[in-house]
Amino acid sequence: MAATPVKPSRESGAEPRTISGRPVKAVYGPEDLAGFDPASELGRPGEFPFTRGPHPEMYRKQLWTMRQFAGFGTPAQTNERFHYLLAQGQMGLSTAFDLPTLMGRDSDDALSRGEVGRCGVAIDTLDDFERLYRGIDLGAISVSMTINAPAAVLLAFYVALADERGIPRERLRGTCQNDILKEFHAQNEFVFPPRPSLELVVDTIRFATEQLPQYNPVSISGYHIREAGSTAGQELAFTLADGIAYVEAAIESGLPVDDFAPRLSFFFNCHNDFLEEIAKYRAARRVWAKLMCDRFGARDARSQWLRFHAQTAGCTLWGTQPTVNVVRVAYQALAAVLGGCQSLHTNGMDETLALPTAEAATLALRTQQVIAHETGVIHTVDPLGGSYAIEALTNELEAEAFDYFERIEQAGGVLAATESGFFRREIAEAAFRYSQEMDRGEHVIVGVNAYQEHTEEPIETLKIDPSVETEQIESLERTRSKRDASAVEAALTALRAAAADGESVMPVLIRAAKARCTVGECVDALADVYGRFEDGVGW
Amino acid sequence: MKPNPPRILLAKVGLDGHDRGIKVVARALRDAGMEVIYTGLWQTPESVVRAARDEDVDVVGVSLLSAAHMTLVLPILEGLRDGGGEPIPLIVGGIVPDDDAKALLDQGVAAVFLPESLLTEVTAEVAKIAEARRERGSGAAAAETGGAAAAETGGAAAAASRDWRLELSRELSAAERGAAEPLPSEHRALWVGVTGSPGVGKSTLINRLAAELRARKLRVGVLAVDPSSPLTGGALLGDRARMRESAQDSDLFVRSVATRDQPGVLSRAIPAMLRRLDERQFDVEIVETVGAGQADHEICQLVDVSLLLLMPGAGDELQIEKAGVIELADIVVVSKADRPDADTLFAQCREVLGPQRDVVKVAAIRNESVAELADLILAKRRAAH
Repeated sequence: MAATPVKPSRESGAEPRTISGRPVKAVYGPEDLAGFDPASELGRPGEFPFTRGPHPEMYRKQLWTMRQFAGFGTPAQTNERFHYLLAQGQMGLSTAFDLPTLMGRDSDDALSRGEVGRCGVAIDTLDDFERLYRGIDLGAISVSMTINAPAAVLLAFYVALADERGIPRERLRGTCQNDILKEFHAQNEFVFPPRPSLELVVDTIRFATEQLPQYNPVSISGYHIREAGSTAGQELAFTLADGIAYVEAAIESGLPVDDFAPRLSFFFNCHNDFLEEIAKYRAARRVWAKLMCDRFGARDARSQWLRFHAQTAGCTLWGTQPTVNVVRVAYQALAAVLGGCQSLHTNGMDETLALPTAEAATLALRTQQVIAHETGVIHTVDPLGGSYAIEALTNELEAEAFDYFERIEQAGGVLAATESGFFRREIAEAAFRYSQEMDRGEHVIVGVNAYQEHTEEPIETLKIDPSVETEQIESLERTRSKRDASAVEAALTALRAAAADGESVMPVLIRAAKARCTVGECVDALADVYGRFEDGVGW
Repeated sequence: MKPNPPRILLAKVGLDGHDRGIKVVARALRDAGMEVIYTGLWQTPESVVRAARDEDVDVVGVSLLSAAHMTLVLPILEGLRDGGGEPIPLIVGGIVPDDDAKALLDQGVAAVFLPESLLTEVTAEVAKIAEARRERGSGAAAAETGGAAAAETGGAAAAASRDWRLELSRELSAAERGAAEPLPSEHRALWVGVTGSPGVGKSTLINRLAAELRARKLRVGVLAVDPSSPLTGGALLGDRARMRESAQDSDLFVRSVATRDQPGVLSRAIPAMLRRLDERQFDVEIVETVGAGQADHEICQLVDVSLLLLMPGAGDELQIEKAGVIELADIVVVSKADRPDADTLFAQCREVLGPQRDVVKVAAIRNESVAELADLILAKRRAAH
């Protein structure tokens, strides 16, 4: 079947736009950079404002960390996948939790029905953590955890596990996502209201600053904002605005900026629009450096530079002709590398259908390995720096971010704008606009609305055995029956008291973890004090 | 504009919070002239079935991206079938692999939509499904009440208690379609009106207030009003999303109401709907207005006790000096009292309104001072009766 070339239906004469709706020119030249001072706006790599990268030699000295997000079923099943990925050359671990864990609920909670171990690994108690990281040296490998509302609880589990294994806390390396603000804007995995949620984040930042010198306590995330339908400019602006809110709150709590800011990290999406994405990462580094220096008076270069993890955009993958997704992921990953990421997750081609099979996850990892070892792009730092188009786009994105900061300021700051639904409304508008453009045929998606094939072989997908749920609940019951009930009660009472008095909850959470309190029990105890946040509706 | 637009319930089931798709679809359906009731996140199969009946909708749509569809959809399908009259058709949206989609359609799901489905396809299909259901339902099935159907099948006590809800739900729909009714000279229940600007926390407060009144063994009915588009007749009714707590309580009834041809503050049908609730022996009936701020005084004349909500940090400080609803409201509530500046706003209200007026500070999200507010409202009843 011969396919005819497809053109997007657009009003004739209209300027082509990026996927975010930004008009782009046919040719960029010096006139697009009038008044642009490369010395102050770019600097050299490793120098303020870090537009070209946080390190002078970038990938010549150290490759980005290839870190594939993984987790499904029981802790033992995920542990097996972890060992497999490490054997394939993966450099760090990234833990995906199931929805009940993400929402701070136990596997036997009524709302957990049907979701235990489905989208990630099920964790109820420290015993599960022990099985999850069995045979993995937590003192040697960096482990990240994608967890937000109950992040303090899971971080306490991690520290408690290290304590029980005799690993010194200062050797722990890794990242906890722990970015609750974007949950209110985009992903909806919140439990407590915004204000106590923010206090909890500050508590973990303080704890990490004092006790986990090599650990990143927050990964300020734009990924989910973009997946919820934002534009590239919104992703950039809202992520950095959230960063401002964390820095302000930490400073307000009495922490000197250079004590904690070096351990803040970021997490961005890599979407389809190649040049715009590269410009987005470069703009992010410049804007953050300026903010940290000018607004917060950070003097340590490590406080000023922005380090980020990137993940290819899940929302760009399609269930039809899924092998085409491999190609999409490769270009997206290349944009992240040309944009100077510090670690990268590449999606499996089957991720719009299910969690990735081992084969799909391996192929995704191989995609990164090809970029690293075969394309040669790693040998030159910021190779697109100085391109008229890239620099013009970088400038535009920077300007958009500062415009948004002003609007957020006018709305009363990040917290007030979160509570009033400002971010949600902006994102929902962009998502709706994009859907309407799709309806009008303004975007060509290969294999989906063009070049369709009518005979398609379905690909193999990962099936989660429904017995995972019963198995996990039985395991939870075993831990519950073995533990010392009075120690559990005492720890939970102490937790409520610490939360009510505004003291750090981290030491009590670690004690609760060792007493085998469940995630759900700890979160319920905190909710007794903080309250629970209802659905944030914003159209 | 249609006089009686299709009503669609959209729900997120389970713990999955990905709501990009469902919100885009909700807007598209509204723009296509439908009344869309959005339940918000974290619904159970039981709460979806109940909301569908209480809201008397023509179609139910659920969205799941967590791969739990087989576990969660089938109980909803069963629940929608079980009961009087024509079953309410169910549509499913989200990430649903081919095999599962086929299985769901075989089980009786009316349509499955994927991320690649176009909005125009979705709206056309939903309109068709809604219309077909109305045609089928306009015969014997709609005329007979759920009570009769349950009697035939020998329904147990649980079924009987659900049947009054179904009857009431249909009576409320009839009231919406029918001519405006005058206010009765007297009524049984205490009528409470809640007004205030959008975002001030009306639904959250009503949720907590209803729970408090229920704890006192009072039966509570809620009419939550949101605006209809004067252009398309469509409406997004989202108040249920903040009223989840008591979703399974049999003595609480929540109904979302669009303003329809009266795009002001209240639906023309509100007096008739209050009367229908009254006939069902509710003790307290709460009306939540669209929230047009100061212009919202219609509600104060309609109800026994009117509450005006003001929140700190939203410019409401400037409003209290002005004439309008603040002169008429029986109780002025400073909402979101957990936020900074609440004390300042409270002090301002006190100063401007004087010692005779009731002013209270409530932090609904922490359930603070909700009991005191309930006392105050119920005291008004005793004073009036």
